[in-house]
This record gives sequence, C-alpha cells and structure tokens, in this order.
Amino acid sequence: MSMPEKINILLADDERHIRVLIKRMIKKLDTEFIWEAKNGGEAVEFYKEFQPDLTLLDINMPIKTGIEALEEIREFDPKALVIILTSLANMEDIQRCAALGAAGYIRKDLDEEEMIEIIENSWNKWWGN
Amino acid sequence: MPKTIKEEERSRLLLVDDNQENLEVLGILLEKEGYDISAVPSGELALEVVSRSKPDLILLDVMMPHMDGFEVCEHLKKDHKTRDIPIIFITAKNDAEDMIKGFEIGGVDYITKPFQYEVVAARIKTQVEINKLSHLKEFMINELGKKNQHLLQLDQAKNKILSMAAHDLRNPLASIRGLSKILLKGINNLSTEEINEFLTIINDSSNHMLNLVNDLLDYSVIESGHVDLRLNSNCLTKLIQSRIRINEIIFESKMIKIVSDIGTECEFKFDKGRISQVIDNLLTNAAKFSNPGSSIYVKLEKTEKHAKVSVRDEGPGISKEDQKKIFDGFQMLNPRPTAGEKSTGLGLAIVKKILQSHGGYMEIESELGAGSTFSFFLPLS
Repeated sequence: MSMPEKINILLADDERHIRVLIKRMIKKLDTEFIWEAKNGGEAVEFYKEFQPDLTLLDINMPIKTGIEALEEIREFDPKALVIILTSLANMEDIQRCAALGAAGYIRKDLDEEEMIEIIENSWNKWWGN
Repeated sequence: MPKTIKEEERSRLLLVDDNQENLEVLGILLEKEGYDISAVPSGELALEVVSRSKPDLILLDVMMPHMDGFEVCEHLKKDHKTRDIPIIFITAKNDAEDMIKGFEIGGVDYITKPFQYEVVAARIKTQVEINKLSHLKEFMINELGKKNQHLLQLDQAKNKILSMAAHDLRNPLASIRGLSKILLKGINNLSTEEINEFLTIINDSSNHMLNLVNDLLDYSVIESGHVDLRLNSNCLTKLIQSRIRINEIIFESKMIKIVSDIGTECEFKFDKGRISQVIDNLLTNAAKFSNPGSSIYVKLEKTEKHAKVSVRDEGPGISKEDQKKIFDGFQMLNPRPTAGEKSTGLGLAIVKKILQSHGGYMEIESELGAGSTFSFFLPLS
C-alpha cells in the first residue's frame, strides 16, 4: 500500500519548537490531521483515541518516555506504524525501539526531503511494498 | 593494611625465648635502639600476644618446650591476619637442614647462637625497614586504586554531562537550522504569522542555547574547584528583598503572590553574587512550577549555626524518586513547568555546588500534589 492521501499523523515531542519544525517539514505529505502530544502519556492517550496512520514519537519525554509509549501503543495495536524522532542517533535507544517494532527513525536535524523520504520508505516497508 | 603510615612511630618487636636471661639482655639492648619491646617465654604465649596486638617483627627462638619456634611460625603463617609479620629465627640449631626449614616455613632470616649483638641489631633493622616499605607500598597501591576509581567516576560524570549537553544543544539547533532554511527557501510562500512564529522560535532557541552554554561553563568552573568566592559581610535579608524585586516581572506574568517572612537583619560573610544566583534559581524554579494565581512563601530564619532560607511553592510537588536525582543535572523530571518555561537542567546542580563551596547545604521537602519547599543553609561564621 503506497502512501494514501489525507493521512492522519500523531506527533509527540515535549518541545513545542520541534513540533512546529517537524509539522512544517512534513507539510509536503498530504495530511488530514496532525495531533500534537506534549509527553509520552498524551501520546498513548491520543493514539488510543484517534488511531492515526502514522506516529512520530520523540524518545526523551516526560510522564512516559517514547520507549514506554511505544510499548503501550504496540500492545494496543500491533500494526501501529511508529517512527522514532531523535536528536542524537543513540544506537542503543534506536535498537530498543526497533526491537519494539518501530518502523524507522528520523534525526530532527534532517532536511525536509530526507525526512519525507524516510517516512515514505518506512511506510512502504511497513505495508510490504 | 595500614590506614596511615607514620614514619616516626616506634616499631614493636616481640621476643620469644624460653631462656629468661636471653630475653632480658636482648630486650634491654633493643629497647636502647628505639624499639618497643614485648617479651614472652613460650610459643603459646607468643600466639596469645600476637592475637591481641600485632608486632612489627618477631624474634623467635626455635628450641622451646611444648611448642617450638617452627610450630609457632607455622601457626602465624596459616592465619591471614598474622601471615605478613616478619619472623627472624634465633637459635642454637645451626645445621643447614634447620636453616632451610626455617626459611621454607616463612622465616625472613635465621640467626644462630652464639651471636654478636650488633649483627642481630643490623639484621632486625633491615627486616623492620623492608616491612615498613612493604606496608608503604601496599598503602600506596590501595590509595592509587582509590584515586583511580575516583577519576574513573569523574570521567564518567563528565562524559554524561557532555553527551547530555550535546543532546540538549542539538534540539534547539535543529529548529534554528530547519526553520531558518525554510525561511531562506521562500519567505514569500509563508504567511506573516508563520514568519513571526518561526523567527520567535529561532530567537527563543538561540537564547536557550546561550543560557545552556553559560550554565555549562559555570558548572565546569565550579566543578573544577576554581570558584573564587568573594566573601564579604552582607545582609541576607536585604539580598532576598532585592532578588524578589528583580524577579518581580516573572511573578507578575503568572499573577503569583510572594509572601515573605525574612526579618529585618541577618548580616554575615558570604559571596553576594553567588548567593544571588542561588536565590534567583529557587525563586524562578518555584515560579516555573506554580500555577497562575498561586503563592510562593519565602522565609529566612537563624538557627544556632546557620541562616536558613526556605522557598515554598504550591505547585505539583516532586516524587521521592525525582527528589533523589534533582541535583544531578540534566534530569528529565516530572512534572514540567506550568507555562512551558525553559530549563537548562543545570540550575540546581550549580546551586548545590555554590552552597557546598560556602560550607552550606540544601534540603527539599515535597509531596506529590502538596507543593515543594527548597531550603538552603549557610554557615553564619
């Protein structure tokens, strides 16, 4: 399944400026809704309520870390497509997220095109294209 | 293993011989050399004395009734507490076989009777010196091990700070870089609101980075022990009043009421600049975690030895678990500031160090849902 039109995205990062940046970076994707979560607790809550097509999840967040949120999201929905947001490519965290079924990871300092490419590739890999 | 080495300390010798005359003669002569002498006439008594207090060297006769010198030596070498006491055999048994046995079971020297006193004294001195050096070596190795361990811990702490600082600098840098790129790419495609929002974020992020870099430099100066405290006689009451006034704008922005009970005078020596930093940190932290319209209580009390300053807020409180790591720097704690205020994560770590350098300390009292009280104590003299 290639990326459909009007996808819904859940964007979880505790820093507002990063949410503004990422939202702008992914503007080229055809999105219907972007829900913004300020911490891991909200991320899980919003996922359960809205079940977005794609979740972008920061690792270092209060209330629940991205890793804890990913565990709960995965338990709720084994098919959830989650991509991790990192500021430093910490291999230990990335491997842990991969083991928990994250589809990929995005470094926050990437360019627009690189970010979109990772999201599209992760989408295609996740849905077996 | 000795905890300290005192070179001037008199070495303690234990003389063991069933011949009373030998004991007395050797005892008197060796005492004149500056040794502390204990003397016993049997092997059994020798073991008893050693079990109570360890001598620095034993001069041990071999031929004694009940328990001979070799047996005494074997007993002592079996016990890890007494194994390292040097033993010199002193005996009339002068055949090679006995001498070899004496060395095999752990003796450090073997003197045959009749002996010349000067020779005995010289050989004892040599063994006592060797023993002292060996203890010194052990002590130094132990100290080096401890120092090494400490350095490793410092190195780990430094690496942790470095990696967390890099992480915390990278996030605002990512937005500065990303948003400025978007602005450069096509400012005409953006609305005025978007341009304003992006520029505000760029400005805020760069300010946050500057604060972080400043705190990091401050932290590293304090951590390296190069805090140059300017200790002058100052009035803590006046300083608190002035810091409350200076931070008024922050309290007003959240409609926070400051209730102070700080007396009229509290004069003693402290570094005004550094203590201002401590007070500002506690006041602004309290404001960050306070809901609009709440109160912050500032109190100054004098105890017998300290001035105690407490800052209490009506915020969400801090869990016991978070309280343990709150002074470590770069901790991701719950909850977060009520109006999204920025923190560098180093403020309280710096505060703790400033207070320590004054000989003071910090305390937290807090319960989830019941606010927090941060108190600091400064010695009055």
